[in-house]
Amino acid sequence: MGIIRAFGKGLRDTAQHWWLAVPLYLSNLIVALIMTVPVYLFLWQLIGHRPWAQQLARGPDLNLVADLIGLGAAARLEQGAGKGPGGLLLYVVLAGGVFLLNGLAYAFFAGGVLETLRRTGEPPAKSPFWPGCRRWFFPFLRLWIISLFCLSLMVLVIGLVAAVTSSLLVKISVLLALPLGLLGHGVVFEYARISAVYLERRSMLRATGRAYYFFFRHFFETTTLGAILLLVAILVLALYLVLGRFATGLALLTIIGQQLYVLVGAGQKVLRLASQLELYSMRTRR
Amino acid sequence: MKVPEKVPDKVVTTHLGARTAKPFRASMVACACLASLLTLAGFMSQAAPAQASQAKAIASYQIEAAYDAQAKIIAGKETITYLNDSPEALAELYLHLYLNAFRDENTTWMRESRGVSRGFKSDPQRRGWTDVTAISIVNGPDLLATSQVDETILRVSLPTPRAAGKTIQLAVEWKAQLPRFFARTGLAGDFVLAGQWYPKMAVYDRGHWNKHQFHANSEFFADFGTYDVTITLPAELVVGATGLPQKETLNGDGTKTVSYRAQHVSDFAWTASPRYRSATRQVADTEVLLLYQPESEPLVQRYLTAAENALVYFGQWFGPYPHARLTVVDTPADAGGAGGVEYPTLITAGMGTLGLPTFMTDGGEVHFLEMVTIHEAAHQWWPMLVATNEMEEPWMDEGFADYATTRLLDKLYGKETSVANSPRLKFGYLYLHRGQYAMVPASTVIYGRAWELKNYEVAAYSKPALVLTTLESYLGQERMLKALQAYVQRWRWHHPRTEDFIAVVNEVSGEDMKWFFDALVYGTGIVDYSLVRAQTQRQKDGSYASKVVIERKGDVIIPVEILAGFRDSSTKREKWDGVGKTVKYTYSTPSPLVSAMADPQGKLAIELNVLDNGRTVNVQYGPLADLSSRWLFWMQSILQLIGFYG
Repeated sequence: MGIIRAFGKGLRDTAQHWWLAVPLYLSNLIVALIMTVPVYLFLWQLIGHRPWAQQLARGPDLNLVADLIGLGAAARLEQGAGKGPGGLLLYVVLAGGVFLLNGLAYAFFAGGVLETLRRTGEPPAKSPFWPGCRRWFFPFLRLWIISLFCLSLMVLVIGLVAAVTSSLLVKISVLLALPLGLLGHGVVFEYARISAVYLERRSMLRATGRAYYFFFRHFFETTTLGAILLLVAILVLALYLVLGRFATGLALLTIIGQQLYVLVGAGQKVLRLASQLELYSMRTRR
Repeated sequence: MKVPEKVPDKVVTTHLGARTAKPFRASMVACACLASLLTLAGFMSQAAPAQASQAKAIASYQIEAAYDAQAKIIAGKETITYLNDSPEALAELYLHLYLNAFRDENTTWMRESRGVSRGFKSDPQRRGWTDVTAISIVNGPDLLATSQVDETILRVSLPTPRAAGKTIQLAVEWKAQLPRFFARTGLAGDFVLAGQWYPKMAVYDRGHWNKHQFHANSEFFADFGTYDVTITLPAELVVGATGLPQKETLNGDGTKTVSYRAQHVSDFAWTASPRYRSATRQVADTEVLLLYQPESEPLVQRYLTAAENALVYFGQWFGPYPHARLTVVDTPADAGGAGGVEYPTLITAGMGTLGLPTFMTDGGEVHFLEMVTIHEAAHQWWPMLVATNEMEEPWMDEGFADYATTRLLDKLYGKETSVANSPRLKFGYLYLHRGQYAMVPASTVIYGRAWELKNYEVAAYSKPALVLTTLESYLGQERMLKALQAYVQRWRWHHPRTEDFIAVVNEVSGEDMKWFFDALVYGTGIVDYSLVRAQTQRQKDGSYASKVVIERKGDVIIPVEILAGFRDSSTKREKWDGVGKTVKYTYSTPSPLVSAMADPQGKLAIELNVLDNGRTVNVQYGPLADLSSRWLFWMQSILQLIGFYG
């Protein structure tokens, strides 16, 4: 069966090229650190010298939440009515910038990962990773813009249908369709990247068209493979949560566990690309 | 069918000042002795005001009513005996027809509330109303033609003014429809909670009639009296009511007639349901009668214990509960908003009031049931005994009840776990108040009419509870309880106002507390302190020079304690009067300062921001690293999720 073969090949390729997860992990870590540093500085100012820092670190506590509301009220009073929390606004702007950076990083590394996976089994030569990154960066950047446009269109259409319809059943159905639509959108644009690299075509509009065609032409296989990969992600999460219970109270172990989980997450991305590439190559003539 | 047993009303005589001997319970003797002692000790530096001398029956009712369960209509006749206790002659009388608030969407109540109470909507198919069909002076002229109904107020013009000190008897006939359960009264299936179901005299107090329309946020205000009530209703209904049952007769036509008598009360409510089961517990001279739904069987002991705790502790703290019975009603789940209602000697509880899923209440770790029961039981003192004007000064009943509830819950379950204490959820009632208080603008004032208050729930409940808790911390537990006991002694069965309470506090405390009440009850004062600096430095001689700086950020000047802790576990305590903007304490000690804390015991419950009260000398890198690494992980996970498929 094609799906099992694709998934099996994906597993083997991922095991062979496990190091492909590292740049994905590192770019994720750097981007997340950019988001964390301001929070660290904020926390340092807020709780660095406060005895309740321990209480906050211990986890959810409704009493502390109630007192935090008081802290917010006092801050509002001090700032004066009408003035918004400027720091929060800055952080939102930063989050937007980080989202962009994350997209750029993926646009850069996805080409290298796919080129490396495509050349699996070929005679060893110079590693295709970095050339792949450079070669596909700008096309994938264009693809990302197309992807965002399609995503906005989809959300707009779903939102409009939900707003226009008076039937509660239709509203609920449409809103339930949104997460499925988001998943489907993600899968389609992975196939667009795969298609571009596999066929070595640099027109991203056409790659998008081909990806949509492929997705719906092989709907059962693409969605089943997607579901299997989703299941893997859920299993990894479950394993992380179970193991995490043993690390309670061990700060360093917890941090190591968290980073391992993120690294495995990056590995799953490689697995997804490898499996989908295999399925695409099985069903498409070059 | 279970019929609650009759509890005999004990009759003793009290000896308070120049009081006329009144029929009352034996347990009041202790209260009387305490009051006498307080007087002797000089706590009451001046004679009690005349209005505190005794409980007068101002408005008494003899009611005969029939409840038609098919039509869901109550038809009744009542004789109201009204004493003009004012120094003026009264040319007109006013009666409340509260159920008219639910007659249609255009009433004051419905416009203000937009038809919603406690999250439940009024049922347009099942409105409430009261129609007075006859009104006359007993053995005198008919008054119906000259009476005027204005929504929930009936104005009755008397042919001749009634002189001061004279009584008048009115004969009233009416029909009432209870709404689908809504705003403290109504029906839900065969469950009935009849509150405000009869035409009720308004209060003439301090020179004016309290003839306010029934407003959305308002509750009630009534004079004390004796109620003799007879109700005919389907025989299968189990009944609970204000006061004590006197008689029950089966009529042979599928109905029965029950009669109740209640003295020293300001209202009469009754409830009925064929599903009620009953349980009782004797608490000193009072019987707690619990009427509960069959599915609430596992909660019976919790209800009874909560009621017992309320009677015992509130009795000790404020003065004994003056009635022979307290009926606690566990309301059905489909009677939206029926739980958490107070009437004299009858309260409703029930888990439905807060919309909590049952799993949260299992195991007895979540004390919402106790919280609601204790809060409603506290209302038996405020305002059922000390009958403040719930319309014009809601903080004096809801705020006092919530203060009492907070106090008792803290005592029973601990300050930080008084509402919930489970591995997943720890929550204190005081914290709930503090969170609510902080969520509304600082300009929220406690003092005011119910319908004019902004952020009613905070203004009437949370903020007053915090203010009174803070007052207790300031005065000390002993002085606070003495003040409250004196207040109850002086004003029970009467209608005190805010200034009367303040006068008692001033008198008992021996201090002029105007500054406190001006800032926190009449005004919008903020209590807030911040520990801005805690430093320590090693000296050449090996000792440590330490410095602690506290800043008063709020505009209310109230004393605050400061605790400085040193590495060798020694401590230094200070008390700052709060005068000035900042204060600095310096220490020369053999051990370095570790941390310092303003208000270490959390006595200033009303303080807006308590999280800046403490400061450590060293940065706490552990929690910082822990929280930052968690944030980092969440960011990484979110970024991976965003890029999960694209």
